[in-house]
Order: sequence, then C-alpha cells, then structure tokens
Amino acid sequence: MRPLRTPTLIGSLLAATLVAGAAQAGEIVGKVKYAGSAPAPKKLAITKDQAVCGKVEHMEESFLVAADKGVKNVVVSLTDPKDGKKMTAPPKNPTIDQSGCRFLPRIQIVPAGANLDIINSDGILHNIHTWSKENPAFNKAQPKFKKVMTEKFDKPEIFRISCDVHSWMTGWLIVAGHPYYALSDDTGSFKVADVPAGTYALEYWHEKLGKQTKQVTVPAAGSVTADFEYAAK
Amino acid sequence: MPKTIDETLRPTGPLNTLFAASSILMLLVLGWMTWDDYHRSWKGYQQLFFRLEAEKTRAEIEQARQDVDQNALDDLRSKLEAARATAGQHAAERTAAEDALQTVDNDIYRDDLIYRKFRSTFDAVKFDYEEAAHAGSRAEAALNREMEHLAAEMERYRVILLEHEKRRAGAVEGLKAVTGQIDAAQKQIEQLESGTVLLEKKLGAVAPAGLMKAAIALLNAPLLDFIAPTIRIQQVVLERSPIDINFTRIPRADRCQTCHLAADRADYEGFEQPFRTHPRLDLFAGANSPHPVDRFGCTPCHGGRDRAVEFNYAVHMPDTPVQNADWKTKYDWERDHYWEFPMLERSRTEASCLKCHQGVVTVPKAAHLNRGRQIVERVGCYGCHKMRGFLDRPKVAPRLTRIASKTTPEWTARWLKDPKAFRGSTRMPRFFGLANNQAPGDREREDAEILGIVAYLMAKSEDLAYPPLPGRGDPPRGERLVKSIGCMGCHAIEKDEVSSEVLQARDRRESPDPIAFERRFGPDLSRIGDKARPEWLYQWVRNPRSYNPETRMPDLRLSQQEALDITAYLMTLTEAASGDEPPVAAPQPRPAARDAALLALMSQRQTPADAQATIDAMSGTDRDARLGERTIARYGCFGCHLIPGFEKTPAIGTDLSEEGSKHPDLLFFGFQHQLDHTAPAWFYQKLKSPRSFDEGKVAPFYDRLRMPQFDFTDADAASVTMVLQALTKEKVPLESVRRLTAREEAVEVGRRLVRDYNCQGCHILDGQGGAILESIAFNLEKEGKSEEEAQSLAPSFGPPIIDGEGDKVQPDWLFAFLKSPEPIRPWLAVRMPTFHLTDQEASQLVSHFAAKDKRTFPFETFDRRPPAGGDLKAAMTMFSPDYFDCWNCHQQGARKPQGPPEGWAPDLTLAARRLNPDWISRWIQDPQKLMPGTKMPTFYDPADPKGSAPPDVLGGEPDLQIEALTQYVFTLGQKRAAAMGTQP
Repeated sequence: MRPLRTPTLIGSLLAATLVAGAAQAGEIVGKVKYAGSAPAPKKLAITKDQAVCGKVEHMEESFLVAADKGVKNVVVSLTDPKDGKKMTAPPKNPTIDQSGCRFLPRIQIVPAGANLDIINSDGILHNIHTWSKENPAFNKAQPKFKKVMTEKFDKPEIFRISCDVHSWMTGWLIVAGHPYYALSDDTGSFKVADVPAGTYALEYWHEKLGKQTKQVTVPAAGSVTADFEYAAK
Repeated sequence: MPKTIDETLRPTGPLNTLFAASSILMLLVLGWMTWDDYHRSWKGYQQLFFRLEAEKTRAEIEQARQDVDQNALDDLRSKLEAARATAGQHAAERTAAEDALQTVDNDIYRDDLIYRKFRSTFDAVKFDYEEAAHAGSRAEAALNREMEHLAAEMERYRVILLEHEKRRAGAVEGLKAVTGQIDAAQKQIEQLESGTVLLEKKLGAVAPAGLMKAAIALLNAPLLDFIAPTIRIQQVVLERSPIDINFTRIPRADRCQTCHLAADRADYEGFEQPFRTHPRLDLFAGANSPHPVDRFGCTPCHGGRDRAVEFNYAVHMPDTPVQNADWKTKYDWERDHYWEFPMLERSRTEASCLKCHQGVVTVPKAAHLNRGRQIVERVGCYGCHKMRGFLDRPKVAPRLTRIASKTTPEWTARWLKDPKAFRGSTRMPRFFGLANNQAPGDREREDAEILGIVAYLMAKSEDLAYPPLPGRGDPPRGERLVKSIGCMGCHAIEKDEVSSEVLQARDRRESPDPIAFERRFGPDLSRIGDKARPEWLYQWVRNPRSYNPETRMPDLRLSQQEALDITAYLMTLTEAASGDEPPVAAPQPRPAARDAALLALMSQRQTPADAQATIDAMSGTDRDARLGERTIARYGCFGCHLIPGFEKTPAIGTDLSEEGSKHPDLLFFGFQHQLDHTAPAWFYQKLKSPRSFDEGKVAPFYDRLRMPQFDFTDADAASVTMVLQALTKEKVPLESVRRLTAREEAVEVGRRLVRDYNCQGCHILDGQGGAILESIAFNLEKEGKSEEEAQSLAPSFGPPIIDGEGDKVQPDWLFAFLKSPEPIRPWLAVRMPTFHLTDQEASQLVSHFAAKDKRTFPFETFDRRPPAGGDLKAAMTMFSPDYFDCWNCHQQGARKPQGPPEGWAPDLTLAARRLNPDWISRWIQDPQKLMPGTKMPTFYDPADPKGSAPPDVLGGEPDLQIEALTQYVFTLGQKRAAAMGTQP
C-alpha cells in the first residue's frame, strides 16, 4: 500500500484543485421572448438556378418566433468579461455551408483568429460578401471547383454575409473575442456556461430586433436566470 | 580791490562733490543706456529656448541611457575586460607584435624616402636628357646612362616597398590576433553608446559649461557681440517675394525665427509658443515640404512685419477675444495702425494660399478656404460685388423674364417678404424687415415696395402660354420616381427626411445643415406645390431648357407619363399637406405708403409738386410698377437674376477685388464700437448683420444700407471673411506663382465643370460626394431595413464611383456617353441625366479624367484580335457554369440573365467599345480594389491567386487565364457590331 499512497495523495489534491477551480464558475441560462405578435412566415422567391436552389423551400428566417414567444437566433454574450480569456479554437474548424442556396447555419460563431471553413455543397457559383467594418470586408467567389474556402477574422465583430449571385441568401458571422457566447434555440432558450462569478452586462442581439443589455450577477456556482423580453415593434 | 582768484573761483569742495556726483550719475546712465540698448525681448526668448533645448537634450540623454540595453553593455564590458586580461597575459607576444609592426613601419618610411629621392632625381635627369637629345649635345650619352641607372634603382626600391607592404599586412594581422578582441569589443560598446555620445555633444553645444560658458558670455556681451554671437537675429532674405512699401519694392527679410526658433524642427510639438513646431511640417516650413522656410520665409503666408523682432511690432493679430484679452495683459498688445499687411489670424491663415495658387478650383489641403469659396459661389456674392476670381461666373439665380408662366403674383409677394419662411435652406437672402427698417411706417412702405416689384415683374414677364396637362398623373408612382431616378442627388425634400426640430434648429443656425451640401444644389422641394403652376412644372421636368436656356438642371429623359406622375406628386408637396403653420402673412396693398415713397424718390430729381403731378397722372398699377422698378434698381436684384429692363445694368455692390488690403480706417464702423478696429472684424460683422452699421444713423429710406441678410452660420461667415482676406492687392511675382502643368490645367478645367454640374451630388469623385446615397439609405430604411444594413447596401443601388474613370473607359466612348447617356447597369433605378453639354464641355470632362489618371489621350490603339485556339477554349471554359459562370449575372447583348434586374450585371458586349482592356485585366484580378463594395466577387484571391485559379485551365496559371478572359471579353460582340455596321 505504501507505493500507492503518494500518487493517491497527489491525485486527490489535483482533483480537489480542479473541483475548486470549476466551482468558481457559474452559468447563465434564460429565455428570450418577443412581446409583440410573431410575424407571418414568408416564402422567399427563388429567382435563379432553380435546379439547385429550388429543391428546398426557402422561408424568411430573419425573425423566427415560437408559439410561446421565444425568439430564435438571439446571440447572448457578455460585453465586459474581466478574465481576458480568449475563445479557444474548436478541434475542427467551424463551417458555413452554402447548401440549397442557404447559409447553414444562418448564424455561426467563430473565435477571433481562428479559421472558418466556407463550404460550397451546391456545385454552382456562389460568393461570400462580408459586410464587416472592423475586419477587412471581402467579396470572394466560390465556383464549383472551389469546394472549401478557409478564412480568418481577427477582430471581434458581428456582421452580415450575403451572396450577390443569389440575392435572397443572408447569414451572420459572430467573431468572438471571448468564450462567453450563446445562441438561442427554437424555443428561445440559451445557456452561457463557465462564467466566472461577478456582475456583468449581458447583451442580447437579434438581427431584426437589435441590441439590448441587461445587468446580471453570476454566482460562484450554479446558474442564474436572465430572461429577456423584446418590446413589440 | 579786484577779487582774488580764490574769491572768484567757485569753492572746490562742493564742485568736486558735484563733479563726482554727476560723473557717477553719467556712468550709471551710460550703463543703463547700454543695458537698455542691449536688452531685447528676443534675446530673452532665445536664452529661454536654449534652456529648454538643454532640458530636452538632458531628458533625451537620460532616455538614451535607459534605452541602451544595460545587459548587452555589461556583457560587452566584461568581454572587454576579459580580452584585456588575455591580452595582458600575452603581454610579451603583444609587445613583440607591436615591435614587429613598428619595425616594418620604420623600414617603409626609410625606403619610401629613398624611393622618392631616386624618382625626383630621375625626373630631373630625364628632363636634362630630353633637352640634350633635342639639342644634339655631347652630354646625351652620359645623361642616358645616368637615367637608366636611376630608373633601375627606382624600380628596385618600388619592389622593396611592395614587399614591405606585404610584411606590414602580416604584422597587422599578427597584432590583430592579439588585440583584435579588445578592438571589436570597444567598437561595439561605442556603437551602443553612440546615441548617448551624440546627445552629450549636442548638450555641450547647447548648454556649455565652465570655460566654454564664460567664452560664450563674452561673445554675447555688449559691444563685443558683433563678432560671432550665439544669441543673434535669425533672418531669411527673400528676393523673390518683395514687400511693396508704396514708393519702392524691397526684398523681404523675415526675422520671425529669431523667436520662433523651433518652427522648422520636428520635436517641439506641444511646446508653448513661440517654441512650437509649425503644424503640418510635411506641408509647411519643413526642409522636405513644398514650402520650405528658407525659400518661402514666413510672412508671405502669414503676413505681418517681416523685419520686426518684437511681439507688438511684428503685428501679431489675436484670433479670438480670449486671446485678445490675454495678449493685452501679457504683451500690452495694441493693433499696429501703420503696417498695411497685418498678420492673418491663426484660424484664417489659409487666406494667403490664393496669392500663389491661382487658377484652381480648390487649393489642395486648404479646406476652410475652399469651403469659403464654395459658399461664395453658391450664394453668389459676385453677383453684386465684383470679385477677382469670379469674374466670368454666370448669374447665380433663375431668370425672372418669364416668371408669370411659372408662379403666381401672390406667391412671389410672400417669397420676397421672407424667402426663408417659405424655404429655410434657400440661398436667396432677406431684403425686407431688417434691422434698419424698423421705424414706424417702414413696414408699410416695404409692403408697398414688394407689391411694386411683383407688379413690375409680372408686367414685364413673357407669358409662355403653357398648354394644359395632357393627362392624369399618379402621385404615389411619381413619389417613387422622384425618390429613385436621381432627383435626390441635387434636390432634397427636407421635410420628409429630417425632423422638424432639426430643421428649426437649422433655421436658428444652431446646428449644422442636416442635408448634404451637394443636395442643396437645386432647391428644396418640400413646398414646391405652393409655388409652381402644374403646367409649368410638367414642361420643366420634361425639358428644363425650354424655360431657361442657361439652367444647369439636366433632363432625365422622362416619358410623358413619368413626367405627369412626377408633376402630380410634386404638386402634393404643399404647406397645407405638411401641416406646418402658415408662414409670414402676405404683404398688404398700401396705396398711401406707396405714393409717399414714390414722391420721395421722384423728388430727388424734380420739385415735389412736379413729382406729385406725375404720380397723380399714373394709374394704380403703373405706380406699383414704377415703385417696383425703382426698388429693383436700388436693391440690385439684377445682380443675381436676369430681369427685363436691367439686362445690362452694372451691379451695385462695392468692388471687393482688393478688399483684403483695405485699411480699417476706410471702413465705416458706425456706432458698432464693440468691434475691434480691424478689417476682418468688420467683414464678419457685415456678413452676420449687414445693416447693423446703420444703427443710430439717420437717413431717408433710399439712402440706407442695402446689403441683404444671408443668415450665415458663424463658421460660414468666418470662411467667407477668409475669402475676403484672400483678395489682396499684393502682386506676387510670376516666378513665385504656382504654375500648373498642362495636365494639371486639364484637371482643373474639368473640375470646374464637375463643380458647376454638381457631379458629386450623385457620384463619388476625388474621394468626395455621392450625396444621393444619403437619400437611398433613407429609402431603404423606410422599406424596413436596419440603419446599418441600409448604409451598407446604399452604394450598391447608387451611382458608380468615378474615380479612375479615365483609366477605365475609352475616351471616345466617354465623350459619346456624356453627350447622350445610355443605361449600363441594369440594376440601378438612378439614371445618368442628359446634361446637354457642348462639345467643348464634354471634351474638357473627358480630358479631365484622362489627365487625372495620366492616360494617353485622346488616341490609343487596342489589340482587337479575338482569342483563338487554346485561349478561346480556355475562356469559354471559364465562362461556363462549372467554373466562373459569368453569364449567370452578366447580360450578353439581347440575352438577359435569370432573375430580376436588381441582380443583373452589365452587358459584357459593351466592353469592346467602352472599356480599356488593361482595366479589364485589373478588374478581373481584384474588383474590390477598383470599386470597393461592388457586387462582382473576387475570383482570384489576392493573397493566393494560384490557389484560387481553376487548376485545369491553361495550366492553372492565373496570368494566362486573366489574359485569355480579357481578350475574350474585349472582343465579344464584334460580329454583331460588324453586322450593324458600327465600329467595334
């Protein structure tokens, strides 16, 4: 038993510190709602490349509100994290796929300085036109033979991307400087995990409803609920 | 008894005291005189500057010492120590090496002397020999032998010396082996410390210590300071720009730098004056700037007394009242009454640029001056006042020869009473209801005058008898047209785009104009429905020149229905529709006041009785017209408007061509004693409140001040004051004038046209303009887009950027296009209007663009051979859907792409006639560089062109591919052109 005692001691100490360290972070959960009435779903007119783009039905996705008023695709983030932590690049590059003449996913979060893979699954001419201000804007073509294009963005920013060949295509890129970002799902629920304890200004951003901020205090352990309701427009 | 000498002489004791006292007094006075003569304020400034410089240098030395990498220095020092130690250990070897070197040097010295001796002797003997040989003397043979002997010796010693050199090199090597490390280390230390050493040297020069200090004090002492003082006057003598002192012209001698010592040095930004670096050293005063101080001096730009070295004597002029008060306390400042070229205030220094930069539309980098001149052009000061530089400008306001066809007498009367109440952004100033016409009876008389003017104009007006409208217009359609086809580049409908609070703040001059300057080129259309007759408006929008041949309004090639729709929409823009309060009430008929005014006017040349008789004989309308005529003559309306009966009348205002040189004593300040007694202060007051100088004066109405009220903002009034200060009588010699090259002239002539036709209302040119984008973004927002999206989308729906147009298009195509535009970009709703340019104007514009881009003009040959074989196949492959799929968006002659026109791209068959093939290559290479934000994507990633090129076409080489594409595009449609019989 003696040979095992020291490693066990060290191991348990390590575990303790890990646990202790993890216990310093809480999480923010919540639901984003819209007070007004949800807009009627609109179909987008497909005016070009019917063979490829017309395969799927395209609906207007800029303002999706669930039956219980939850808003989809709201980006929830901390505006002032104090620990200076950077978002780590995931093992596989985040992707945006131009598939069926849509950007999938519509909103993608990519760490600042990390690579983003832009894929053209459609096999027809597409282009990525970024409307960024902090990062250099570009408009790059992606013909059939260029299946994957890799791009990098260095400055944190939220900006729109569009395709000039297919004018109905719209997407959004969130270049994240810090890891505290979350995207609300179909029901409007979101979770920002591993937030160090403290008081922060939490920002809600939606492409149509705009930006709003709210103060939130994150406990040392457990979660805090930060629901938000957008006023009717 | 005669007086003894002792009795007649004055007592010596008191006299001695008196003489001693007076001697001492005179000595003191002498000392005081010398000191007073010697002590000058500028010397104090120079000494202060040297102290500042010393402090600065000391700080820099500190910094340099800190910057020196202490670790590296210590490292090197220890290396040096170690090297010295090793050298010490090998002391014997070192001595031996040094001795060896010394020996060689000694040998060289000795043998070199011997060599020289032989050489000089040889030269002498050679001379003798040549003489002897020539003379055929008997000594020839002996001399020849002697010469050969000497030559041999010389050669021997030459070789010896070469051997010595070799030995020496070896000895040096040997020594270096021993001491080399020491030398290397020492050199490196020197390098590290070189910065500090230089600074310390500088400090020694600037702040001498010990003996140097005493020597310098001596050099600067009174009586001795003629030799080589360190504190002395700095001056720049300029023959090229003499000063006119009335009876002669003398070279300028600028002594400003005596106190302003750091003006051309880069390190003194932020220091207190007079030691501050000149702002924009790269543009002014610096040695590498276009205006270096040793060639341009200071006073040609700033004014002031060049030879002065004292603050007040140099005629410094304060810029603000705060500075004025400050200088009064600090320097006991008072304006110098006798120097005719006072210094320009700091905020208005740009006024002097115009002296040398003549014949240009905008003076480069002189933003305030350019703004002032733009205001003068826009508002039309030159209409009444003759101004050099504006002599050939057209009249700034519309002609009134046909006013009865355009509008009603009621509207005209309300407009005259207060133009700004109807249209806040109008350029027309206010003539009536101003400060010097507020006495009892004046208001009635002014109403009579206004109605008189209206009567005169209506009576003399041509009636064009417009037919009734040929159909019904649809206002909503008209609104869409007006807001999309391009009207908004020159016009605005301000009540739609800006809230009424902002407009009111603008009217009170509390805020800057909310609408872009270019969009006030034509009038604000917010209430056009109240002004214009619909029949006139319809004819106007269809064909402006039929009403006014000099108008700059172009025609937008409207169809009849479009014109009807637009007319219908514009007629709905009225005050009633906008719900604002009605403006100033219309003038009332005042027969009594009218008759009294007429009597007063006519009695100037006849007896009152005769005048009254003439008046009684006239009908009411005739009296109105007569009063109107006299009023127009008095107020000089014909300076800006073409008025029947006044076509040739000279303008009534003072000639301002040399106003900048006007002495303030020649300006009438009246009772405005709160103003500074300077010309600029008077100009500013005149611009802000022209009739204020009549305050407290008694004069009949026909003798009062007449300049109308333009309601300038403070900033605009300051800019126009600057323009006035720029108009001086100073004649700059021709060699100092900035002469334009032929290319620059072509650019300026075209720029004049660009300004006159307001190209920048729609297009971005010279990096500025594109005012219409403001309205396009506004419309996009109204359609529901967010502000950010509207701002970023607007350029895609707006007119193209035309910077680089000279490089891009063929000149003959551009000429034809300017004369008669055709649509190029199918997705744009805005249309390029037809300006009805003359051939000369169109040529000047084309050469303007070509000159800006340094393009060969006007003739150029292009390679019009279509690609063949492999290149043709490659191009067609790249055009295909699997590759670049160009026809997805681009039009191909009659074949239109899929989708709505907003998604289309230009017709590529136009390229043969229109584009420069060089430009096509560059465009395909990187469109975003040539036109940022364009919808054409980049196919060849600038960071990695080869990686983004299709690998199976022409070997994957981007250059070859682009060449093939260019030639293919450039020769498209040639068959069609040949079939049509036109030149491709």
